[in-house]
Amino acid sequence: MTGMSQIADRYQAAEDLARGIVELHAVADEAGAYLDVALKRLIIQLRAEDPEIWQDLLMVARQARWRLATNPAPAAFRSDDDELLVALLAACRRRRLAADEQTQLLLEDLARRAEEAHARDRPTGEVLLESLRDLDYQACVVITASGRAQNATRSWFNDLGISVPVIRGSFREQADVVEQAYAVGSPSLFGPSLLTAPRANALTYVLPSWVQDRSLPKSSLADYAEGAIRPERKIFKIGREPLLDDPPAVVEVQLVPAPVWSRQAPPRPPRADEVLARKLLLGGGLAIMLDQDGEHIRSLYPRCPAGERVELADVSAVTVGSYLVLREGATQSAMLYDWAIDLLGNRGPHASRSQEEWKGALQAQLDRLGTAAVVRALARAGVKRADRAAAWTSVTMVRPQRDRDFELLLEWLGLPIQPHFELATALRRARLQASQDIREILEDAVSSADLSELERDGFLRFELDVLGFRSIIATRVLAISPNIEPTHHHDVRRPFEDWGAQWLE
Amino acid sequence: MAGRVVLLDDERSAPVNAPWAGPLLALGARLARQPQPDPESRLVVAVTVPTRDLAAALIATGWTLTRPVTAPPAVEEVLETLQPSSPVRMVASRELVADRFVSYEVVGGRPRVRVGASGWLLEKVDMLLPAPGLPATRFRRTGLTLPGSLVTSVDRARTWLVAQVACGADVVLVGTKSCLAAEMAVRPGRGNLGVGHNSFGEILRPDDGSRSAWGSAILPAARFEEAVVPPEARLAVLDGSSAIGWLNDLTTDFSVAIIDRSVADDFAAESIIQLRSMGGTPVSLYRAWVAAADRCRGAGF
Repeated sequence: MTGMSQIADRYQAAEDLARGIVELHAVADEAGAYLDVALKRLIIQLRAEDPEIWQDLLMVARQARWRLATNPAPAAFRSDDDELLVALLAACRRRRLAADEQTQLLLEDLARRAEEAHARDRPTGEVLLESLRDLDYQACVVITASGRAQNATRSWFNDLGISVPVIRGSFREQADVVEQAYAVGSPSLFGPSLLTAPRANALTYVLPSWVQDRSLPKSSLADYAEGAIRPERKIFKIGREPLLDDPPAVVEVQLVPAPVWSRQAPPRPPRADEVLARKLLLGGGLAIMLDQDGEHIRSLYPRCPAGERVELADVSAVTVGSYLVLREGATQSAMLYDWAIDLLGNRGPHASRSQEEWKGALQAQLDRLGTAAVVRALARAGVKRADRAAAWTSVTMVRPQRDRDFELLLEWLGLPIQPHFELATALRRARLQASQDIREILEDAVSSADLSELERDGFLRFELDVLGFRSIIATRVLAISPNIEPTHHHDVRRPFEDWGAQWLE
Repeated sequence: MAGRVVLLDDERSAPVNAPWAGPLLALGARLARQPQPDPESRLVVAVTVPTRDLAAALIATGWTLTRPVTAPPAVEEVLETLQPSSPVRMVASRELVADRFVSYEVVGGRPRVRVGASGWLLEKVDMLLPAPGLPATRFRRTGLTLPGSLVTSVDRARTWLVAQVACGADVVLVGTKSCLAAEMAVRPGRGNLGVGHNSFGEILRPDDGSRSAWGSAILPAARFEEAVVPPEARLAVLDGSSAIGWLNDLTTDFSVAIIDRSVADDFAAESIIQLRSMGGTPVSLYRAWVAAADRCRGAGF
């Protein structure tokens, strides 16, 4: 548990920063600036082209630029960028073959700039090192935006014999409040928590000057809260700005590499056997379709105390960075259902039939009247969560949450309240028991696993000794599609291969 | 004038100044003084903190130490109506005795009360309360603590014993159960009063399934389906994103959502904003807050 003085220090640091100033050191970075310009020029040039064929190249190029903005380590410690450079050069060569002359020149330029930037040390790193030296490497911490930058910077510091801790993304890993924190990258890469829950008495962001977004992030509550935290910002320019002839007008401010989501088919309502789902890109080259109306999905919290790491989280709480626990090749819910029916013994088949009966009736009404009409009718009948009507037909949702909603639904369907109510309630309890049993098995597996591997690679496989439950994977959510698509029931939450996340962090 | 708010890890540790804790205690106290909201409506307060530690416990404590304590009926009155074998809670010689009422008789000129396997002279019995429905698993004798610095500073020393024996989970804390349970050992207090400090657990008395009398409940946030919110709960303190997800389905008069700013995701904040835009009426707490914050530096909160 956190010590009393640590808690007091955190409140003090938060108060000080809220009234204080945050510094931004914008460092001149010639090689990076040239790459940025080359990429922007290419993007402008490609505006008239079919985006799909240029997708791969642009993703790799954006990733290269992202790494320049976020990794301060010198070239010698960025050897895993070699693979990226090779991929970028290859992509440029491929595209050059079919491109017009103007585009060819831009591709050559991009390739050349990428090679140069890759080979040179980072001015942000030099400035960072100097600042740390001024503090005699005491009472300070470096925060990187990515795991890759963290590893590279740690290796670099180790090599120099510097013992400044390097953490990633936020202050969470650091218990004590220090004097000075340096975050490498623009403020929006780190989110508001760095500013609103600092664990340093002073905070400075170090970024290349070609990164345009310098805004300080704020939480969504800030607009509504009394006493919102809005520190002042002071920008310092360091180094001589490179001369760029004819820099392009601002094309895109988005620095964080984002996947390109495939062009959506025209939106249509889901068919009877479909639900609305979003694609999630996951670590390990996987993806799943996550149903939007689903209630819970099993998630992993590596930072929680042992025995409490595996929980059912709300589907809407899943964000980039969350960890999900999935069964390879199939979903957990089918298995949970079978397990629960089993637990009910003699009543199992009755419960199963009851589910089929009332859910079948509900589905028939949804087919006949359409979802919207059913929702309206149920709402009129007094059902509080009528909006869930379509979700209640799914196997994973044993019955409506509220007792009264369930009774009203059965009445509306013209079915007797018993035995459906009692069987569904018993099944729900059994499902909870099954869920708890599974959770315990997973907790066991997780507590003996090396979670640092999960945090590093974003993917971890557990081999369990339980029937029907052999291979479990834990994976980090890398990206969430903004597009909602109708997806077949069976395909929801089933992991499949998708390398769309290959060039994301 | 009472001293500053302090916190101690346990009874042996040195007190650490905790000026940040004052406003959280004050928030709980403030809510305890609020008039009941209209039926069909409830008051939701969202507060953000740089670190979640102890925030829920402090808010619940401010509430508990401000809620009115009902004066118990006189022992003789209760004796008149008690049925033999019915469960009771009794305070005698600084002990809480929970067991079946056996008999009341005058032996050798001196009135005696028999509860469970033992007997007490009537003059030694400070309180006697019927405890209908108390299961035998909760029958036990528990030593009662003395009121400490925080309790004394808000003028609750006199009613401390009555409060210790009252039973009902008037406040629920929802969050990671093990974290909240571990925090119950911490002792909040006021410096300079020369008395000891009660732990959060002693003040809040969370129901652990075996206590004879309880004043609160700690519920695990991740298991909404399994959780039973006690019907008598009037304040729900929601610690963290999972807990805040309960907001839609809670019916307590008052809810406090504690948002930990050190957590990267914005789910908690977004849930609140969504709830607010679904027909809530924003209420200004600022003036009340400033007044409360000032008060917490003085006596009481």
